[in-house]
Amino acid sequence: MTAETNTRTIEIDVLRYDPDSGAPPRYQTYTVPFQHDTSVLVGLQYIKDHLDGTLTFRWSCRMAICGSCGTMINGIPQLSCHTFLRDYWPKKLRIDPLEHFPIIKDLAIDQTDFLNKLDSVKPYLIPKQEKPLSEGAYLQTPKQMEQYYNYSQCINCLLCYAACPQYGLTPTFTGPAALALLHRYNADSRDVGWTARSDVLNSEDGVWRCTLVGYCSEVCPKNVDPAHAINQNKVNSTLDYFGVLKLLSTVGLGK
Amino acid sequence: MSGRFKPAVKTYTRPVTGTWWKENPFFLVYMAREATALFVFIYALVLLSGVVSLALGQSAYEAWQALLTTKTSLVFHLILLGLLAYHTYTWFKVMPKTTPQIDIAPQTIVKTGVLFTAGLSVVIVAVLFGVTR
Ligand code: SF4
Ligand code: FES
Repeated sequence: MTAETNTRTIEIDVLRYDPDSGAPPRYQTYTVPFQHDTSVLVGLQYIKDHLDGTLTFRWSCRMAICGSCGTMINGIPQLSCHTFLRDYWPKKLRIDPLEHFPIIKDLAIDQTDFLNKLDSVKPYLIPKQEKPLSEGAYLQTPKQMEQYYNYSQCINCLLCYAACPQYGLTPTFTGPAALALLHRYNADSRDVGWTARSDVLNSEDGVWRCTLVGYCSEVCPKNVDPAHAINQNKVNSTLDYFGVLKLLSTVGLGK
Repeated sequence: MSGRFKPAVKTYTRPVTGTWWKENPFFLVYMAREATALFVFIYALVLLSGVVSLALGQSAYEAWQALLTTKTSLVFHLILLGLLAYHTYTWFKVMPKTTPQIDIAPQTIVKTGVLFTAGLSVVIVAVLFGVTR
């Protein structure tokens, strides 16, 4: 088959919001030609390039690594560069900005809330003592790396926040990705930051706000499994409350 | 949340509706888990009423026992059994999310938990049957 005959068309409803007019968001329908390998993101780019230059959306890498192109596709949080139009055809497709976040314009959401939460979990190594570069790297065994590896794969795409009803209902919840990153550093053998991060983790808006819906882990494109990070820390948080964690660390167990 | 990053000045916030859980099958399953917890509470009330009737004296206790053997009560208990079994299963289903980072497949954790509980239940029923015969 030639590329020409391979081309089909699909209707896409996109939620539009214009901050200048301030009018409530409404759907606008576009008819987009596509081929077997056309991603939803390329569909949006087609609209912007050929049909309507005012459509606003975010993207960068177009290969599921930068985390900027997350949208609700038929109500499911997904990376638009990682989702294909062929899987929706011949039906219509609906694209909304990521759920639970304020809309800046069209599909572009305001991630400020997440950035502040990310900041609050101190997402960097807090070593026991800084050593000079001349002493070389902090060593770690593959087993020790396994403890945090999947949590370090987060690309901050925020699909998990859009998937989390608790975040929607209580926006003060620290939320899946920030708590997964909190755990990523706590679980690192080179890190001693438990105490520095415990206020956030132990608080009502920390791990205890989670009711284990578990949808965050379903939608995560990087298999970070934030629900696992959060819920194993309910155990740690309890041990911390009763002082057991401290006892364990004095005998060299736990952290 | 306040912090060093400041939000965009003009944004539109979509309201969260009371029907959010109807919009995704995943949330329906979650709500089924939460809703069946209610029947655990109801069954606790059934047992509690037995304790209360025991405290009230022999005739009250016998009336309670008689109530349990009625057809309606048996059907009610069968329904409760089904709902409670499902609720128990949901707890094992989320168990892998609560363990530390271990080298056991999530499905193995779920299966082991369910089989252990089912086995233990059979043993308890058998013992009770033997004792009360
Ligand atoms: S945990 Fe997964 S879904 Fe959430 S921001 Fe990170 S990569 Fe995205
Ligand atoms: S464009 Fe980078 S993740 Fe989709």
